[in-house]
Amino acid sequence: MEMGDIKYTTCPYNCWPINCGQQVERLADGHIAIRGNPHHDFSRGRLCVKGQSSYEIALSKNRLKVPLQRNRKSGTLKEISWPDALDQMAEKITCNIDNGRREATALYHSHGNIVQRINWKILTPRFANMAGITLWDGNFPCWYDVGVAQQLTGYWGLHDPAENCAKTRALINWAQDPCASQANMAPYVLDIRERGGQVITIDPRVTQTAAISTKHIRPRLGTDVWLANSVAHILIREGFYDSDYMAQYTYGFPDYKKHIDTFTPARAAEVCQISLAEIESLAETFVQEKPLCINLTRGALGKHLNGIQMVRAVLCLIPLSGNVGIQGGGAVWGETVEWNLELCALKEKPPAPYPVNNFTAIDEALEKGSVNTLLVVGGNPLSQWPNLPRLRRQLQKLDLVAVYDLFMNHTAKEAADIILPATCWLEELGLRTSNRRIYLMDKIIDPPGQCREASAWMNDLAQRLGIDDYFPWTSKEECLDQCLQSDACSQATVAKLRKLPQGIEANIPPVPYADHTFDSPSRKFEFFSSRAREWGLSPLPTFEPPLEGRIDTPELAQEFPLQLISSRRNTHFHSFHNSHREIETLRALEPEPLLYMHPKDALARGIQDGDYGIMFNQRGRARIKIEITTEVPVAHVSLNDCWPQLNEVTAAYAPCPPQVTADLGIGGQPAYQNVLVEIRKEGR
Amino acid sequence: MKERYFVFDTSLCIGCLGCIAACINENRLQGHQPWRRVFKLPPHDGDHDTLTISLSCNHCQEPACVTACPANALMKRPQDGIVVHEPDLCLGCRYCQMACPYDAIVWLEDKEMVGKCHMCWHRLERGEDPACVATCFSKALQMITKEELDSRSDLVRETTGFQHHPDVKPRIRFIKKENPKDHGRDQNG
Repeated sequence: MEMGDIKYTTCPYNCWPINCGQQVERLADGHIAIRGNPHHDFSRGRLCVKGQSSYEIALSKNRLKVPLQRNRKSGTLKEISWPDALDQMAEKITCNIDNGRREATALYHSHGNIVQRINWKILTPRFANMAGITLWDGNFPCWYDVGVAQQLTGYWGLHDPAENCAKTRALINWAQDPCASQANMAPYVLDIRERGGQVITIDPRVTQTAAISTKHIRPRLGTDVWLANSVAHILIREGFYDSDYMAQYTYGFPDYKKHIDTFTPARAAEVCQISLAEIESLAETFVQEKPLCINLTRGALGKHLNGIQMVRAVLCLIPLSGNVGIQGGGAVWGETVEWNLELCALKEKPPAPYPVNNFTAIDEALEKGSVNTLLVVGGNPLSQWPNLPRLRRQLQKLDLVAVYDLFMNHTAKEAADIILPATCWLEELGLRTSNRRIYLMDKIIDPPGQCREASAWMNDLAQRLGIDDYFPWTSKEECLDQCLQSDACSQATVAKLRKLPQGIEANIPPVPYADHTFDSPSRKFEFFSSRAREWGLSPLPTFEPPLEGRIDTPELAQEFPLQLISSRRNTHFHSFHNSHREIETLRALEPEPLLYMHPKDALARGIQDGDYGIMFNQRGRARIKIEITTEVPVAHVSLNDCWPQLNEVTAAYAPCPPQVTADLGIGGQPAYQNVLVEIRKEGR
Repeated sequence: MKERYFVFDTSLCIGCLGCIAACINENRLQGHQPWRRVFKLPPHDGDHDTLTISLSCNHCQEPACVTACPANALMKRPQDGIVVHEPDLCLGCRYCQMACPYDAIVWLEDKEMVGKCHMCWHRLERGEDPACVATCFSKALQMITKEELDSRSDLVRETTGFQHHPDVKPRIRFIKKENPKDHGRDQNG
């Protein structure tokens, strides 16, 4: 890049539904000036606290710059050459294959790899499939059970969030806090309010989005099935639905109607611990405000034992209230733009009993030793996977752990035998889909030291495994052009995208399901799911009490009386950049984990604002600073999900059966939100 | 250049901290030495929801820091009243920090001198808002001219978490709200 040139890319955080646009300029003194891309259709030149600070990623002195190897006896790290590191990895993979245990090598790639969409969607799966090793995807901790619910109903098409906010009369942020997780949504949310529309937030906590909403409903954590089904009860009881539509375009409505009859608003008010009037008012909004849109962007509901049913219950309200196929209606969530997935070489994958990408299967594989080698690409299991005491023990038993990352993250530091230095988003040519558009992520600077992009070292590793056609292209540009050869991306080429900082719109319908043909086996919206029943799941959206809950497991709650909520703030994206501690601006704003606690709970434990406490339960413990706030309900505490302290106490339990993941390709999210803990003041 | 005022609406601030990072990014500050800070208010008394307020130097009309500086390193620009700091003249005596009633002067321990907001005058001269204002997603932080200030009746000098000191005449105003603590929404719990 020439000094003074402006190039375009997207922000390196994987916020959903939007990845904001960036314009980048290399200054004469070597500084990288990053500003918002004014041509970006959604972010329009704005960047949040993370995007504004992102130049620190590329310039950080703490970047991993050379491959490292650990001496297991002494624990010390020493520099190793790339060829030597790859030789060791190849030897172990080959050994497993020769022993008839090719599935014993697992590659886990997560959000660090998702930054470059092609690496995530094509080039990494292509390597794992051609090599014939297990592939685990970092989406399972993030949102996978939401995807199961989407598939079970047949409703997962993409609305444009900006268009939808511009046209909707009411936006319901159901367990979503976009002002924290995607601050660029805030202007669109406020615009609805300014137009006289309703912004409703449903969340037990007083979130940043709740604070600017016109209505905030605070149901008891985990009771969303009751709330959604009781709203459906009112709509059905009062006849506020189109029976002809139900007959023509939906499947199983009579069963659903009968099922919903038991979810009376009066009982729901008791279960959810909110007033009957609030439920009736929410139902009234569904009747009176059209179009109405539900923001289900990602993960929160999926992190419950009951998560699949929660999301299904909420999705059922969309056809019931007549909000299908209209701009401003439906649901808002992330992208569904697909690339040329033929390049993933799935058909070339040799058969083997690969543990599926479902945490129950992953935990079992690690516990039983059916996986002995773990390659981590842009991920951080020792921060983001549940029940870290158990995981720590499992990783210690492995023959080889290799970590490819930008920084010395928790997994690299604690468990890696080989550490490989990664490129950041400015250092390789890539592509990104955001919302409904495709963007180029131009290569803007050269990587420091010996940092290499993932597809380059995977190609070298593939050749060591006897695979000569992993990267058959003569250039990355040629590779990306072939990745763009899909129905959705056919209008785009790298050359065209380079000239268009506003990106190119993908070929997907402007409004999903305008023809009322859904993505389900029956091609109808499925209130009742036969597939769910075959998998042992409830065929109808049903409330199932959590394994750990203040009210549902009273004996456990006597010992550990506080419900732990996993939350999000603006300063972090999961555990990116070593829980954002490598980014000085973000580290200064949130220097250490904060546990949010209600004043009444703090008083009962003799805890004052700023005290340190020990959070513990039957699985583990963590030392943590406490902030006293009414943002969390009584008998609840909350902790941002970037910190490994959270997962010292979470359970390695994923409610979605592995068979669902084997059939659908998704599912198996751990129940991060179903955790009871106790806190005591440090020193007591 | 016109005299300008910060305007802040506590009911719109979502506490996203983008204003701080925008300032650091624009002015190439070190991350732990921000010129702007965001405070959570009130101190969680159990009766009210948390409010957030974003503050930097208020570019007072009668700035105490300028008066306190023995080296004339702080000065009020005659053309627009922006209070600027000249690093080459700074002695590092920190008198300005002691004089400022808003704790808006930052100590740069590595340089042994102070630093402060200069209202992004380089952006103002290009016709752009300061970086903190330009990045504010919810428009909680705004900037208006003296003429606009005089024409508005919805602005007050004080809010929760900010005391007006008439002796220095800070150039910041707040949107008047009947009860900013309830954010204008229904609430339970």
